[in-house]
Amino acid sequence: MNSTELNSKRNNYVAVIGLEVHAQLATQTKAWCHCEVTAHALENTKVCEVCSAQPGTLPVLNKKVVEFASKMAMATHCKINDLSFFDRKNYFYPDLPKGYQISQFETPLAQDGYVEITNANGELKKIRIERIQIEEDTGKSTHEGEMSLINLNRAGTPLIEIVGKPDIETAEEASSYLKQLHSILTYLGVCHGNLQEGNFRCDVNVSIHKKGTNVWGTRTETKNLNSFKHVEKAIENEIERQVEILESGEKVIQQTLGFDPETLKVKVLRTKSDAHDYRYFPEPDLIPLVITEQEKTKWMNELPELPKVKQERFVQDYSLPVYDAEVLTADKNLAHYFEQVVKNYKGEPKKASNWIMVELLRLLNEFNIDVQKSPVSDFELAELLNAVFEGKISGKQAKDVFIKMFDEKKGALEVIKELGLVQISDTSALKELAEKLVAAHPTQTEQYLSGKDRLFGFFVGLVMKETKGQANPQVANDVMLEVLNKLKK
Amino acid sequence: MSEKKINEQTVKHVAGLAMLKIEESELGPYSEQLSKILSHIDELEKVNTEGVQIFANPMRECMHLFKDHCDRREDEIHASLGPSLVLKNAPDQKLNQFKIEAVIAEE
Amino acid sequence: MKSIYEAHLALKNKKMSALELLESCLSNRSEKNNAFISVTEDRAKSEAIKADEKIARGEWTSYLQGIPYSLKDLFVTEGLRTTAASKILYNYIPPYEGFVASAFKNAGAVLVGKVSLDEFGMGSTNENSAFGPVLNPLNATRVPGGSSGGSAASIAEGSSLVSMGTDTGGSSRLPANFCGIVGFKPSYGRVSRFGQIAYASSLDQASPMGNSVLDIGIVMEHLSKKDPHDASQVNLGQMKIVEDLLKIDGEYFKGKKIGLCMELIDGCKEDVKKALLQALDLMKNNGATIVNIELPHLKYSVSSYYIIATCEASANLSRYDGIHYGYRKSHNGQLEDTYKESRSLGFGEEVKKRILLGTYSLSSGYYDAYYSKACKVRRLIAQDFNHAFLNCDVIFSPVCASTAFELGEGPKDPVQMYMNDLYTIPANLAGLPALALPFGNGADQMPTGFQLIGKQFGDEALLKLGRSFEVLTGKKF
Repeated sequence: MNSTELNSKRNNYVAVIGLEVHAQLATQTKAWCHCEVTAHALENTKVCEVCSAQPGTLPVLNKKVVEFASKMAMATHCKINDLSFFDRKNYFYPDLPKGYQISQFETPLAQDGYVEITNANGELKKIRIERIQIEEDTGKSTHEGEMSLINLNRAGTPLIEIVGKPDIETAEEASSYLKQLHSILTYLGVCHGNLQEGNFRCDVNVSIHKKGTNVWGTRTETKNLNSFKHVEKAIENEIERQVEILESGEKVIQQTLGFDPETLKVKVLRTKSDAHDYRYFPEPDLIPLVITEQEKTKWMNELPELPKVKQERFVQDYSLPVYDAEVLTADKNLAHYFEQVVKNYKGEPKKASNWIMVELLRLLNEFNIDVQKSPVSDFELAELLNAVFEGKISGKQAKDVFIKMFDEKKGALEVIKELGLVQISDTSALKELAEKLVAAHPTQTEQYLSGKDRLFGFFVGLVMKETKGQANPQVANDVMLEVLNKLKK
Repeated sequence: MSEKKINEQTVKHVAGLAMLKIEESELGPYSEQLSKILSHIDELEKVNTEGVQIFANPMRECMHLFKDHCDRREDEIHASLGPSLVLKNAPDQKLNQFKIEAVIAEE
Repeated sequence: MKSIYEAHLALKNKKMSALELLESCLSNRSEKNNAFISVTEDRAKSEAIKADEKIARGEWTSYLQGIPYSLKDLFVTEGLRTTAASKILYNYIPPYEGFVASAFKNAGAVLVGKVSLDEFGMGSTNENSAFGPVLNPLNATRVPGGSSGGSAASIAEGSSLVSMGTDTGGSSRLPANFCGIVGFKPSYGRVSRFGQIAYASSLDQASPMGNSVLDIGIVMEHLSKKDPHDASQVNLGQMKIVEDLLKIDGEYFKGKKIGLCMELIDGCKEDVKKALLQALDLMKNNGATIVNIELPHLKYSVSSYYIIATCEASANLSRYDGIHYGYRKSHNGQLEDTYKESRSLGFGEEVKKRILLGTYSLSSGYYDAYYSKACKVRRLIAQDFNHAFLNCDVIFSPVCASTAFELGEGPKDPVQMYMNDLYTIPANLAGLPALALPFGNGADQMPTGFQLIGKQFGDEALLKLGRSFEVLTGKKF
């Protein structure tokens, strides 16, 4: 089937997508022991007797894990279970030294929440969260020829698993949902949100069924995606794959798939018959998790302004379009940066927004710098934008100044001075220059005066060229018009 | 001959789950022994447990004794053991890591 | 037979030195009894010398200072091999120190060695050790009981004055009973399980075993402090009981109500029954009242226990995989085979059987019928006890229907074998404290005895009653 055929066939189907997110909590130490949680450590240097499952060791719950998990539950409108329980999920794998993972199966910390996304039609859509449960991460294995090497630094890192209901219908909705979750998690400070370091990983469940029918198809699971783009590609690819299968009269098999970041395609890992029997039972070494009213109240009061609320406020208070507000509020630190710029900037917030979204983000992303570590501070950017606002330099010049400010960590005024870029706005000086230039080009002057209006641009261009681009374009325009009009008479 | 509660096929399956290797010749005796035990344990079916909650650990029944959250700990970093102690008893190691036969990519 | 307190007085009054005391214990050790897996002579000597130095300076940190003790090889000792009596840990040298090991070390006691047990605590005769069976020092044709057989034997032979065993279904009370010594299982959650190799997490408790209840009290003072490494341990503060125990006399039984389920006694052999009734008489004659109680679900204890314990054990023993520590049998190229061979060759038969039983009971489709059902019955048993305790202060029960079994006699029928634990299991299921006391002898001159079961966290009251009883039988320390 070629892609046009595929597309038209695809439109006969509805996709049902459910996402499971594993977010590493930004605690200092692991879930059950005092080992430091960090992505940057030499192998097996952040391991103790507990997280290496030495005989006789026991887990002891980290208080901060409870706080962070609860805050995420509150921020996503979940109902927190005052009493929840830990369970053992049993399976054998070298990066799981106990031979079981401590998780929450029967009664998790929180249930029945939601986040809101904007769908393709611009409407608000609720994506429901089925549960949030506390669990632990495994160690890591790497290949060494025919052998594998196990590093337990990551083993025991606290995770929350956020299980979404299958309310998602498209890859874009999935991406929006994930970005929302990511945003909330980082706003709360409960997850560092660094996707490359594996702080935020996603499993995707996809099934399709014919439009108009009520019977859902068999679903497949694609595991461990750690990029929004990969999630979108995986979903699109999987939907296509399932459409092809069904169209050719075959059945979709319940399988676990992996995602190849090179080819951007899904590939089969194992079929359901190999699925584990986890033999869940209550974790006897931990007592039930009690959340008190006082704790809930305290944590509720500590919640920061959440992304959606901030977004709405930006649209309202700064007259920003929704798109801008979305981009700026995706990262709490970026939002703060914007607000600080606006505080000191004399012009319209929209201008500041454009500048940040285009110029600043471009450079920050190119050099992989976090906005908190931006070489151009919010105060300095405001200074630069004010220089443009006041007509000291042109917008085009400002772009060059900005790059130099970014590269050399210098202030706006300093760079403007260095580049000798003070914009010429002096009307009389420019008028003098305009008169001189007109006099020096009699042929074009005559052509213009006899009706070739298009030559006006030529004359303004001369001014700009003569002033090496430093003339204030608006003023140059005005004086040239005045000079030429005088000659018309 | 009484029917065995847990047949050899099941013993094999359970052994697989438990990562135990049971030789063919041992399947019979294990099945025999386990069946005997399970037959006795069937007496529990006679007990009326309607409406009874499970009792998983005596401490779950004494939650009032954990009001001060003495079962939890502070989020404070303590020194880890260090690779040489962690790997002290490792049957095989390389580059400060546990070394084993290749893992099939599950992740 | 010496006790901690007696030895303490001797050390204090300079009748002997800690080193002399140790040497006398070492000379009592019998290779034949095979109580020890590791004898730590060098360490013991240096600890004894240190104790003597402190004594010479008049420094006393505790009653345990200079006292020779042994540890069941389930207690993790840093830098000192800990095997769980299993091939799978035959060469395991722990990189950390467990709570119990640390408590004794800090108290200045002298470690004679790590003693044998039924592998991973699974068994009641100490015939399941990978290091060979332990013999009962009182009669070499008999078992010492299990799983803390090595602990009981080391005390009975005189190679230690006190020993730490563990009790999951009676593992310290049964060997105490067979060897004529005292064994105490604290309330579940009273003593930290950190550093105690886990068998069944909701049932295991560290158990001091010794020659007197006074000695048990001395040890419990050290063991009862809150350990931040165990989330399931309650914080009731450190026990302060020795001074009280020293003051206790027979009067303590006055007005006490002893709960009795006569059918339990009727199930015992005649000679054991006789001793039990005599013990009851002694209590009655000293002011106690016997109250009939009912424990209607007790008969289901063994079934409930063997599901719950094996389920928990099947998960607790998953970490023995030949990868991070312990025995590994490499297989060419296949990880799964390494797992299977290491575990199958490393674990003994009884352990494998229990792992299979536990795995089966938790497996898909069987959870409700087995694990869940067993836990519900467990609640009914716990409720029976709660109900009984409305009418009595303590419950009297046999420990075993007979005296120590013959070696190798162990019934081939696994169910029969498990039924030996019928009297001891209920206290573990309900999490109650239980004290096994020696009293009288059987027709074969082997020790008999009984147990007292107390209210949850009524450990001190129970120990006081036990002390009162031993004082009544003429025991000073």
